[in-house]
Amino acid sequence: MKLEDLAPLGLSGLARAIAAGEVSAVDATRTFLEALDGRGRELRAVARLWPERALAEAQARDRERARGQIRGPLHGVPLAHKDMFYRAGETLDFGSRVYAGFRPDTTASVLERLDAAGAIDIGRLAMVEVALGITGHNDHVGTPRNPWNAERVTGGSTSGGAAAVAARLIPATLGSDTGGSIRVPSAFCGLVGIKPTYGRVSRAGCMPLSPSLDHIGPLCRSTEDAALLLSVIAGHDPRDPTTSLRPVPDYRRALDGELRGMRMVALVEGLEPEPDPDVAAAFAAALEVFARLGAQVVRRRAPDFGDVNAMRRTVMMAEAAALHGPRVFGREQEWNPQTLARLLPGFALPATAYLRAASARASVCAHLVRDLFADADLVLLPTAPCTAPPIEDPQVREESAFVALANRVGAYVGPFNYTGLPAMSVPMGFDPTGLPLGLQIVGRPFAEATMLRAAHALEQATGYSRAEPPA
Amino acid sequence: MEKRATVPGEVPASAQRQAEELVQRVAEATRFLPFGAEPANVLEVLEQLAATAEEGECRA
Repeated sequence: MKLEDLAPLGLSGLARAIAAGEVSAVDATRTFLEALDGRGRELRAVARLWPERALAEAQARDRERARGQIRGPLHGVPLAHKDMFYRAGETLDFGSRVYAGFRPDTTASVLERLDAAGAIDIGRLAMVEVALGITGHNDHVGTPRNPWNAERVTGGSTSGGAAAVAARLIPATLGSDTGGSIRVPSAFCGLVGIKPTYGRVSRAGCMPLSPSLDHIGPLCRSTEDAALLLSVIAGHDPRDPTTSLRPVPDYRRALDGELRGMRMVALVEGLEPEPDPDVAAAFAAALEVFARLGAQVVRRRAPDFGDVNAMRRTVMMAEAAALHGPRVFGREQEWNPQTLARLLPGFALPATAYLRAASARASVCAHLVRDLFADADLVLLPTAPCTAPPIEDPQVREESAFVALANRVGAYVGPFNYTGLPAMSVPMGFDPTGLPLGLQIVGRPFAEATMLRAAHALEQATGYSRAEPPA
Repeated sequence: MEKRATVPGEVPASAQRQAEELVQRVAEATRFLPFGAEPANVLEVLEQLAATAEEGECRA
């Protein structure tokens, strides 16, 4: 079975083909393992592959299907994830030297859900060191290349996952998002990525970076695939007390194309930093599409996200410093300078600043919801103010310039980690050089279905998700 | 970016400056906080906001 036969199916199509017996789990697993081992390593997207266990599982899924036993909606579908999702007994590195050889004795709850749905876990994908970085740079294990332009970053921290899905080397992947690490790589690589509401998806068995802000979600090539994967992984988990007891809808049912009567607020001015002209133009075009599809689009000025971002960074740096502190001092040479530039300030933050930033979350969240959603179902803004920066951007090698670059790239996404509101990125076009651009859709708490409905309608109207990166 | 030869436990001046900027920004941003405010259960806040929105939709 050739990759060019399987890749166009996407996650949902491949699942249907395997369930119908048109493709075997073994063929699919072997094909995607070879793709990751070849092109995936060229793109520096791969951390580790597990061919023996993956093929053994695939054979078992094929035997089950032959007996008429289908485990669930992902029966026999091979997947690979960021190198931070625990699989009991399997080694992980978190993209890091100081955690090299970490061997958990437990499996992530989201992986247990994927297992129960029939998915096959074939390996781990490259990531930014301990998920602390929005650009995707990682000098130690290699910076993944953007399939749309190999001289550009993928965005981070779900860097290898974004590269692998965009290059069609794996149907979909899971990532984590503490300050945009699902949405920004999705935008830079032309993917659909969802950061669900805080509490919608379990983090048990996932490497923590900042537990108050960490979210788990899918990166896929289409809204249908993202809806499928989110439906499988969402829901209450006794192992994670921060998960909600709310029932999980089948998000695929939201993909009905119906936008009439939907109210959208578009943040067309006041964003800091201002979006690049290509981003602003694509954003304006996306708003026109929504209006043409029957949505009521109200354009307004953005609230000041600067303070919210400062409070998010304070919470994140303090929590990350507390988590990784024992492995930092005396081992600085084992860390990427870019990570240290973001990690070390956390050790200098007083507890009072952390507590004040943490204490303001409830009121900031309530205020933002009242302000933005008073007459709206969704809020729209670009995912990032720019396209993917060059891997060799001069700012990367100078500490204060790198921090400024990271803050700029993540300026539009961080507020929704701090508030916990659901947010996703969906393709909204390309710049003149062919680099993808992402639209961010933000919902009310637990309104992922509404977000997906709008994203799907845009996707169907524009066809951007069907575009392929150059070979 | 040059790697630092940091004394164990020492936070470099550049990191100190970043932290100081954040402290000032947070102090300014949280001046509205009422006396007695404490870290919230974010899930609880989100659940309440979702419930309020749903009640509003039902009334409408």
